[in-house]
Amino acid sequence: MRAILRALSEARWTIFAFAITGFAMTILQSMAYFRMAGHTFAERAAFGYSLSLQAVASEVLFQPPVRPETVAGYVELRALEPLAIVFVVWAMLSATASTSLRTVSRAAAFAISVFIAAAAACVGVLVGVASGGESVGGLGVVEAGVLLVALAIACYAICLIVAQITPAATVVAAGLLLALFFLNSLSRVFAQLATVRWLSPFRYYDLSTPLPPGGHFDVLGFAMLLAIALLGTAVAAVVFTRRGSGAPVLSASAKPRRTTHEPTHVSLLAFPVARDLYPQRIALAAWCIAAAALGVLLVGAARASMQDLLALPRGLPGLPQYIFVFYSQVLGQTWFDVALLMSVAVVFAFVARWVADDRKGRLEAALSAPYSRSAVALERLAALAFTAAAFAALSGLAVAFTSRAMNLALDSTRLLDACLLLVLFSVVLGAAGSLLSSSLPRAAMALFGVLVLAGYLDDQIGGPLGVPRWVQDMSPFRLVGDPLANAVDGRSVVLLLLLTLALAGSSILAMQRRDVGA
Amino acid sequence: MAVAAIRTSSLTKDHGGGRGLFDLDLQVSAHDAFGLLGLEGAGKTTAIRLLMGMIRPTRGSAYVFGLDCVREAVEVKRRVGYMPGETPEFGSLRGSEIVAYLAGLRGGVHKDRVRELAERFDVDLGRRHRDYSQGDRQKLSIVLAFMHDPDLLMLDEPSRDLDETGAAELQALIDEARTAGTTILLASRTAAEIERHCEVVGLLRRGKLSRVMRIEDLPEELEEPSRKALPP
Repeated sequence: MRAILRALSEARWTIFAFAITGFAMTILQSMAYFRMAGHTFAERAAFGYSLSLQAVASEVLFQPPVRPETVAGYVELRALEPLAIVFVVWAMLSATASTSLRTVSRAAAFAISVFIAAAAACVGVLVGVASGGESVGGLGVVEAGVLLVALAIACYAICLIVAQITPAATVVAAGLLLALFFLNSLSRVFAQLATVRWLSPFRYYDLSTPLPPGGHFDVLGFAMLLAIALLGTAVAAVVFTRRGSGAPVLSASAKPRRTTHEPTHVSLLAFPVARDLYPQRIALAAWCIAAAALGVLLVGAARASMQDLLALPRGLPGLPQYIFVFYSQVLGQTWFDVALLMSVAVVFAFVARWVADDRKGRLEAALSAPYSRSAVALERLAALAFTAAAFAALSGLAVAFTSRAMNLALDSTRLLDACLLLVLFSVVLGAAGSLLSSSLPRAAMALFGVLVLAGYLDDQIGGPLGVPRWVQDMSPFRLVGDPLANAVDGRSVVLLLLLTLALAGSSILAMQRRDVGA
Repeated sequence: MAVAAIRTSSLTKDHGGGRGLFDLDLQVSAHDAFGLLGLEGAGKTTAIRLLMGMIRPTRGSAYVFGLDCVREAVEVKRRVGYMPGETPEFGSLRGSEIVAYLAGLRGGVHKDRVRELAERFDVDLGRRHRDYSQGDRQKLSIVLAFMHDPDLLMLDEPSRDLDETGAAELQALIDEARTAGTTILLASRTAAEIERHCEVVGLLRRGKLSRVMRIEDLPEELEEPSRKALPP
């Protein structure tokens, strides 16, 4: 019990941050609904229909919405489903973080933490819906909350097992969760995957839609999530007690090896940017390859979801153009959106490393060499830009070649624009992260999370909530737009570049003025 | 007139709550070995970090070989070998990779010198940093501070976590550096460590330099244990 309380005390600011995130997402989305959906039956029906049409294109990622014309259906689609992903990322980071606490205590503390955050999200739903003079079923809200908790603790348990096995726990756990997510979501398009989707915890989450009218709570699916959580934690606890202290099962350091006093011949470490990327090279390469693989899969999924359309006689007037436009929209809402999210993950990893450099004395060690602080900030951003470019290039090439192989016409200029915007998007976010890690290193990760969330919400509901235009234009999510479906807006690109320059310049100034190692 | 290796004037870093370093006026001539003796929180690490340009002074100024420690920090560090009080954590990087990384940032480091230092301290450069013992980490820090044969060594508690062999090797290394004309600034909590390496000592108490004296004038009661004679 003491260990659980200690873990909760250590994580109190994280819990607070995720509780605020949950509350903000649900209350703001609920309030935005009343501004967007209108008040008459016809207005809301039209609004729900437009959401359903959008959902067709992104069917490969999210299940079709249930009653999106109602506030409950809308909140489930736009707030709770993204929140489930946010909580899963939290579970992954928490389970793979190094700590001296025992596995069962950690798992219990995380369950309590995520319960608090989910409760805040539920309160946000109730308050937000009440603000529009309507109400939702209390039981449905509770069920939606416990479902969020169940999914998060199930994923936490899976990552906890990974953390006992491999030293590269965060990367492996992120890859595994990504694979499990797409195993479930792609099974909606590829019938072959339907037989194995029971392996994915996301499948059991999808079985329930407790909030909207007419939705339901799948008790068996919920029980499966709890079973994964309990069984996974038990397995992790057993592995934890049997493995060597301090080292994961697959740790290579246990092997006997001859002592060497020879300096390394890895010349990469002598070059700017390359030396920054070297410690993370395997993880970054894996992430880029995963992005390329997803590019191939999502093109395949898009083709599968367009089967009926492609089966029509090509001679029909306007059909090729319609297929071209529809395919661009589908890819924009699947591949490009997934690539954006994966880019956010890459930037998070970079910012986390910059903060860790500071906390663990690596920045002080680097600055003990004749190496200017401006160079530190610039080299960090250059390393991020290089990674983003490799990520976008591999993923874009995968999409281009797969589209060609599947006889799906795609505008190569727009694809190139999309790839360039992915790079710019990563760099502008990275510059913001660099500014935060230079000026407020201890709070940088939490503040960066808030910033990304604010940018996302600004893009989604900034307009309906009456956010001034200039504030809306600060959101990188809004500025990148949908370059596959629509031509790139030059003004947005200029704004992105200006934001990057302003943030990068500020981060250099902050780096020069700050104390290191104090 | 020869430029002092270290010169500070009213150098102050106020961390608040009476913590920090206050009005440090110090001059260390080139080729001298100067010790800063004081308890935990006395301001030794703060003084060294100010000289290294890691932290900015609240007021006052600091110069190393006539170079401003804030405005010309890069030039200062070209001539300095620094051993921090707390060893950094490099995670999964191997010792040899850490050396290559920091030597790459610095430039002009000879592999033969690195090999010689690693052999003397028996640092296994093939192991990952996370698998190093605290003593091994300290030895690697010594390699990193000495590998470019600097003109000035700033060493913050260099013997901490070293075994007897390591401490003896460090003493020999510092003696060699001194013979080669290197200036030494060494901060420590123990008078014995200062006595081994330095000829002049400054006593730091609660962030203020209370006295500067030759090592032979160090009062006996300060020698061991220093804790008794130096209230925080």
